[in-house]
Amino acid sequence: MKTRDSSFSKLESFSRLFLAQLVLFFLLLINLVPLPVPVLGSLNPAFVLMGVYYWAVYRPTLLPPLLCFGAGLLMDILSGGPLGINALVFVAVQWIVRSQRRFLMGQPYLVMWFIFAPVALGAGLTQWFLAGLSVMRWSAPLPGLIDALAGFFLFPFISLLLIAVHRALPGGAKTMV
Amino acid sequence: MPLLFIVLALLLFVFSSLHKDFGHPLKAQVTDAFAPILATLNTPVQTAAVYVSALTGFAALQTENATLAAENEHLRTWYQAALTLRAENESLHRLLNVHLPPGHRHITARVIADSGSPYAHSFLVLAGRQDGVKKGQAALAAGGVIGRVIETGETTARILLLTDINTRIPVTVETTGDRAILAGANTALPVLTHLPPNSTAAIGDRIVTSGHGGLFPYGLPVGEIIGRDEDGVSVRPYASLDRVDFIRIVDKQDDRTVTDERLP
Repeated sequence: MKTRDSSFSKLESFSRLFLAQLVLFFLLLINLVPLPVPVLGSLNPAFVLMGVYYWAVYRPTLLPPLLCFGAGLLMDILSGGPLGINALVFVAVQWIVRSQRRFLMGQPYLVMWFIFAPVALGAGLTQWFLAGLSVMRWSAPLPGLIDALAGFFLFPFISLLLIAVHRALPGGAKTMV
Repeated sequence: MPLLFIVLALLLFVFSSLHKDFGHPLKAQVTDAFAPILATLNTPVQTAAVYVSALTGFAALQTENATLAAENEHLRTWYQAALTLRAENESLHRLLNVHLPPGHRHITARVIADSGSPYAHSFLVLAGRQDGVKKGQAALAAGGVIGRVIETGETTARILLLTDINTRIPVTVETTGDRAILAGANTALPVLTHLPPNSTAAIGDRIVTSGHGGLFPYGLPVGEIIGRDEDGVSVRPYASLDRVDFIRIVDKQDDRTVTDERLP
């Protein structure tokens, strides 16, 4: 009976561990599905990046470089752009943010939110540069900067979802709010 | 460890930039595999869109209704004129023994995803090789051309939009007959390039496909010129690219009138 219980709890924690990845997959999908909101519909805030950023700070083991690479590559394939751009951006963001997580974890939510701005901006500019490099023609970078700004303002909403998932995970959210 | 993945991503980037078909069958298979999920997610989103517009758009609907009623009056007159012109045109064609290219079949497809990036303008649609979609076919939305098919899977196809920086479509300025190339710029308005220097194309002129290169049939409506200055001629597409739910892919029938006549 005891073993059965422990295997059940193992299964439960296993499925809970997948929750973070499932949410990231969901964010990836809503990045691709055109949103019905009047103004937002034409914007593409980097939802997946928010997930990558959040987990890199609070649970880096949930989203190892391999998964970031996989998510980025899937995004590249489904979005029809040159391969490798999102894969590179997600892995790099995870790497850089993870290296700073000791500092970031001790910060209040507001700081964590504001630091997402340069992250989104850097990611947007990298995507712009690489997309241009791929065809040796660069379009105006402005739409990407607007998307980064939109991403910054939407971060609190998506982070609500991420915090909820974080709490549901085994171990829970110790550092948040 | 992350460095390894960064190098891998860069390698993928270089290969896919150099060879546009890099990883093609695999990419299409992955897209096909994820299409049902995207399509499923898209359904509630579209339903939500209907509710959003129902809630926010009542005043807009009233004005739209008035505009449509006025436009309908106007079009009724045109409809009668068009009927007369068609009959006249047909009889003239018969008199002159003109061989018209065969008509086209349309494949209607639902848009299930966009590119999610401001630097690549494309749609993923739920129709593929099994429905007769082929690479290079023209895609139309309500008002006119929105792009062309650049990749096909078994059940999905990717449409590169007019506005994408990689788009080049041979077009004609309807009023002057000048040929030009419509080029996307990753902005809302594509531009006309290779327009003859002495062209008199002016604001308001209609742009239609020229049929050169053989990919697109002749005469599909593309857009109208809305600006002309030193930087170039900008064109506003007739098709609104903001919110497209369905598109039509033109299955062009081969024009073999010439060879058919001459062969024994």
